[in-house]
Amino acid sequence: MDLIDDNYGCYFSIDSQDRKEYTVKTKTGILKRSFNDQWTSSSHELTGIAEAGEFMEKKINLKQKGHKEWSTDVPFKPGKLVNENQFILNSLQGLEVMEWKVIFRALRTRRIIIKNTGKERRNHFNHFSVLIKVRLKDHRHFIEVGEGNIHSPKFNQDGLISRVREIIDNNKEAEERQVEIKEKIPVILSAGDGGILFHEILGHALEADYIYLRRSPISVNDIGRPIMPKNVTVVTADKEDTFFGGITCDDEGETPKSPVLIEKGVLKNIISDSFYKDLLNIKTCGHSRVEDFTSLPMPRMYALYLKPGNQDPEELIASTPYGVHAREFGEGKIHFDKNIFYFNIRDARLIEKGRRTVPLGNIVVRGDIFEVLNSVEQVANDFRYDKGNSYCYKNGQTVNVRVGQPTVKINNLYVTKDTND
Amino acid sequence: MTKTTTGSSLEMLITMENILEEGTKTGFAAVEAYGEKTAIEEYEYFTDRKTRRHTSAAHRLTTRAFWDVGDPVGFSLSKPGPEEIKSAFSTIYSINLPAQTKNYAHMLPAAVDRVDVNIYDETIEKETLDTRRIDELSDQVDEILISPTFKDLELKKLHFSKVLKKVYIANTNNLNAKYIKTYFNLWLSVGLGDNLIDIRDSSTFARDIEPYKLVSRAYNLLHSLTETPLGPGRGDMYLVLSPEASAFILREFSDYFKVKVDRKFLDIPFPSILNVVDDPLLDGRVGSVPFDDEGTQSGEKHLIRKGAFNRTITDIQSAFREGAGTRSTGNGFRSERSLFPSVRFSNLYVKPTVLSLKNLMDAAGEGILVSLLKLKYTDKEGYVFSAYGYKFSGNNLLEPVHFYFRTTFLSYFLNILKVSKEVKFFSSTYNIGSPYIMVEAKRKSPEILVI
Repeated sequence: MDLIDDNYGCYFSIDSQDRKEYTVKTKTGILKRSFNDQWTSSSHELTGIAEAGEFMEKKINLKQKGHKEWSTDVPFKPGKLVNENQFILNSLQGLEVMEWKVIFRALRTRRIIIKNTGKERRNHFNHFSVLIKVRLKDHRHFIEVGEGNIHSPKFNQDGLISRVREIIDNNKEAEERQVEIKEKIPVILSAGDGGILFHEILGHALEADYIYLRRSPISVNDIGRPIMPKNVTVVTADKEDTFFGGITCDDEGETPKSPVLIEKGVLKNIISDSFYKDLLNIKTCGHSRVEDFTSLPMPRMYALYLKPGNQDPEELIASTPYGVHAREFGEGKIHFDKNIFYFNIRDARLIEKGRRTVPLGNIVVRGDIFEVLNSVEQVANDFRYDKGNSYCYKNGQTVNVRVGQPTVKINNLYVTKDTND
Repeated sequence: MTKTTTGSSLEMLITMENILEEGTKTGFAAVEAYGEKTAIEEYEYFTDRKTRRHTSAAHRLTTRAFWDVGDPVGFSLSKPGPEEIKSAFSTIYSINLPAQTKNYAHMLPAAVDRVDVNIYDETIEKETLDTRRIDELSDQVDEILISPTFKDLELKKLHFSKVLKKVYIANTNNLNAKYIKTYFNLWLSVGLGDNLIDIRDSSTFARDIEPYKLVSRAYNLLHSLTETPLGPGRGDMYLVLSPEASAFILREFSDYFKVKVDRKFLDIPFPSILNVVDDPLLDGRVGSVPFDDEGTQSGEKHLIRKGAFNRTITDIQSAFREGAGTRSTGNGFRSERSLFPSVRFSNLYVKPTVLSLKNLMDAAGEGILVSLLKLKYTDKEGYVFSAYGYKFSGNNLLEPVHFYFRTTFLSYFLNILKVSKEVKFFSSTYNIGSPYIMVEAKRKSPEILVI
């Protein structure tokens, strides 16, 4: 099986001292894989766009099929980008912060997968993103807020600037008020980006390599058994979401037989590639991903969606005497070997007597994986996708991922204040 | 010895020269080209004898181009032809970004001196990882695991890789330098009961990878993984941190040794036996290089010398931003993801003394030998680590225990009492090493110690 891979990326940053950096990056080559007693794979580069184009034309008559996938067009021009997004820079200049930095990124990936049968599948993925980093006075760490999309370098589609302002204001207020939090309390995750928590603690726990190596608390014997409450259904595909619309198959040319991972709390499938499918003697694959042609494929998620329930999201808040409403999400870590995880929440508010009250600033939530999976108490009906800027890092490879969920209430999460220094 | 490259490097040298010429022709005032050729062979062996072999050869050509003023721009191309180089320069020049501020192009080095640092294993080019050789390695590990000592251990996965890396750096200040280095990694996933641990050994030389020692380490770590708490008690107690545990803490606190010195540290007397060093010229160490990715050369740098905070590390850009004549310490390295260099250590370690582990345990009388640490969380009061180890009395190891301790950069280094001679290195983003370290901890509650 051959994976022909062409990557083109642009990166442009500007900061509060008017320092600018612009870079372009290309990586084009082939990953060849075969199975003959053992899996063997090798990767090699193609010299520039010219050779890649020539190779493609010879190999699969690209020209005849009218594809213009190997063009050298730059995804964005920084000058134009700055002009079009000047409002972002203007809004930052008025903020009371120590420093800020804005990073624009554009990524274009084209892949052709040729299976041993000669059958060919092709994928493309474009991604544009902006990340705003601000550092408040007396803080060592930056607060990061971003968004992304697959169409163009046009941003602030989802209230980016007001999100930045709100996080800064809330952090300042949280610092002044210094509210103490009780440790093990319910946490309500906002619709959309809150799904990244399920990506971490559920999605990774269902990946076949972690299951094979017994890192995950879940095993193949759990298939068919309930591992979450009945109000939880989790899937890996959603026809209405266009985010991975250009991805027609995984990096082995496969698609999962069923997109359902959890149905009404019962484990239906795990996330596997063909290699671990054989090792675990299971029937499912279609989740093989590589960052680029130089890497070894492994079981990875593309998208993970938690399906909506019936409740009004405000009911979740109103039914909580004391808890936390988490609104902006940072990075998380998972330690399968100890069955624990922790996750940074960049903006949160305390819930008291069923009402959102004081802001808490940065907090960390942590818990026991199995306990938390079984503590999803309420699932609202306000399903949303993330803001298009979710990434996943695993074994040295970073890939774009997608999450989506409605507002969800989880009981029994440990909550602590995050340190700012 | 540092090995210079020949033969196949010609193509790369021509490309580097082409980059400098094309950049100047385009109109840039200064240009730096960094080239890297990496050949990797990886082999995975799973419990049920299923195997996977992967080879990859990748180039990376990274360019940093400076106008007369303003910050640099750049590009990275995996294996460019002349047309791609020309087009990339044209693209980055056309954006006309520079702010009217001075830049640091004048600080790019003009030459490197030849230094002797042993980072190349010539066996790498003679042998490929054929199935027979890997079978021998996995048989060797299997044989070790069959022995009565380790019979409870289960090998889930063996991963062996060999890496050959050729690095080239050139700039329009006339710098033109290159080196070649090798490293080998053996990575085992080993289980004991419900616990599983990943353990890795990395070395410049294939002969220094020792499966027996790796399995022994896995055995000790796995047997210390208990949930048995310390039990009741209060007061002071001694902890002897294994090289693995103390290197873990050093890594967590390593940001304090980067770029801007926190002035308050300069006046604090740390224990005089404490020397923290970054040294890119250690023979046979995975982090060693004759010069950094900007062409800056350096040697042993004492970050803490005899208990006095001495300096931090920088690259060219951060040295320039520091001002006051600050120069790069030779710590500008390009990660695979970033185009421009950033500040990183080479071989960061706590210098050993003449004391043995036995001396430390004798001095403590009784305490806990900590074998493994995990970061539990951080909060305003510092870092909380989850620790696994064995109680000891004299030289006798007793039952395994699990506990937590809280510490900060200052209190950890201030409470170091003794440092041993048995330094071990661990490699990930950079190479980090430590001997056994004895610290005094206070037990303020049954659950958590404070250093």
